[in-house]
Amino acid sequence: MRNVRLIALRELQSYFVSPLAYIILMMFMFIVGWFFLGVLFAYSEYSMQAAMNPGMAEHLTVHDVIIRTLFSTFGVILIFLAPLLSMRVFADEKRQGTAELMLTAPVSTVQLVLGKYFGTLGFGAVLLGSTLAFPAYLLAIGAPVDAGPLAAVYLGTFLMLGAFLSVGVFSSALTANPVASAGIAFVTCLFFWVVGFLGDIGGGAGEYGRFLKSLSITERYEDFLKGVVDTGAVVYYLTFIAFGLFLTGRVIDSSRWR
Amino acid sequence: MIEVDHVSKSFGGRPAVKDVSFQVPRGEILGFLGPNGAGKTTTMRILTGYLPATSGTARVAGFDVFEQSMEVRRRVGYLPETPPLYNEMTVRSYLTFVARLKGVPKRQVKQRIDAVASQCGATDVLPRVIGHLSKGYRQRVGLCQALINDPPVLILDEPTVGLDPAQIVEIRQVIKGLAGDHTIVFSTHILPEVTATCSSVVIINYGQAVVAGPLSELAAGEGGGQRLRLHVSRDEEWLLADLSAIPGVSGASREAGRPGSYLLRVDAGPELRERLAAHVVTRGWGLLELTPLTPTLEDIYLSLTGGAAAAGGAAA
Repeated sequence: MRNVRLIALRELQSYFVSPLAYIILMMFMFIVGWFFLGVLFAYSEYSMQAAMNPGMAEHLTVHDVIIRTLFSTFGVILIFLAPLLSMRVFADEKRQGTAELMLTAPVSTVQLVLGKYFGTLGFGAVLLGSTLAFPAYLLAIGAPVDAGPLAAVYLGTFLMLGAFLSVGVFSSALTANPVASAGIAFVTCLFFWVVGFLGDIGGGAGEYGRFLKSLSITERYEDFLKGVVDTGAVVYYLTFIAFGLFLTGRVIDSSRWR
Repeated sequence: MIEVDHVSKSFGGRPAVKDVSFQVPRGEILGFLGPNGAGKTTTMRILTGYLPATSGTARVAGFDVFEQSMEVRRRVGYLPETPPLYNEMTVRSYLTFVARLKGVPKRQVKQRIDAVASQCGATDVLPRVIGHLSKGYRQRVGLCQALINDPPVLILDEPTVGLDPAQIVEIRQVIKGLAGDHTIVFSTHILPEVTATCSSVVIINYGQAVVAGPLSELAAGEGGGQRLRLHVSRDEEWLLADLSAIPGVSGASREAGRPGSYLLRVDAGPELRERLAAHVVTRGWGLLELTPLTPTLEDIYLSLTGGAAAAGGAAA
């Protein structure tokens, strides 16, 4: 456990000295901020319409209009950003030759993979944490933000980001080239996103369609956005992450017996 | 301490190391010598558990490098060919990380860092960012990293590469000073380095260990018997026959390119040299030089790795 913490902390620190991390953080804040502004204006417009139409006001909650709309874009944003966050995790070690240190130090593969993953996830948490500014702003201007559904949204987003990052860490272990790693991660994440659409073809009916939809990373996210924490979805994400990390460990180990 | 037993390694069918065997007793320094691409790095990587051997076994401190990798890794300090450094870290934070990773107790970390840094002459650069260091300092920090947990076995892949001559001497002294408590394998293609620091040597070429043994035995061996160079002011063919007739001299030849110089193969010791000198002097040939020739490591190396034709002629 000490080794995992050690590796994770070093990894996390290395993000904060690299310009890439700040660029990603800035890009992310800019995009999300832009969306937030958009939904905020839309909300105020709806409110004015609702003032004349009492029936409409019933459905007009801060959560549904602002939070849910804002976070529904996160699937797309994170699918682009997560591979950039995780691309150098293992690829850089191989390129710099530090892999030789990590693989000959008294550290097991499991510790190494977990340490690397938690380090990346730590930065992911910072990224996600930065968006807390928006609910905080809503609270500050007196909008009624519902804490329960908001927590569900954050849990879901964190799990989805965790799943993307596990794919990213895996693809980073495959290659010494960060760009190639980001490419592989992006395509793999994209697959787990569109696989849900594939299920929709033919109306999403039948065993096959439902199976494909159940594989989708983003499909599961919908529930969290509504404020529902489905244990099935939580288990899905955790299994997804565990499997991704298991494969990463196999890739690392395979370099030892190739 | 280190036993390598018929180790072979091939990459996708292309053999890199073929049937290499050698031992390093506790506290000794082994020089691992060979031209570029001979398989030095691969063998060292096998010893550290970074790569598995295709066949054969290697044991470090009694532990199999493949089966008991963790035990081996705890006991080995490894400096790879390119020092494994995180460019964005400062030297101190990097060494702290490695020390903790290798299980140095928290309270001893600072003390260990200061100790290895002064040992390797890296004290001045401790607060600096690794990415800004020169090649020589990177190499030193790499060496610090290998020494940080004071492992009983050190495996150093070309530790003096990139250092200036003064630094090379310094690092050699460090390595020499570590022998006794530590068992050291280090690779190099700089021959004097081996003569200067090692007690035994393995010469590897095309993946095969061509020679393995203590330095003293290697120098004495080489074809049996001793060779002498006799240089006189006469340069005449008939001298050869005369010299060969002296008891104890088993062969004589003229040295190419040096008029008056003769190479003798002899089976006897110093008293023969005495007789020979007397012989030459009484005949009035004009004795200029009489030297026993011991093959240097360079000669052995070049003759074994196939570079003998050009440089080996004189002494071999």
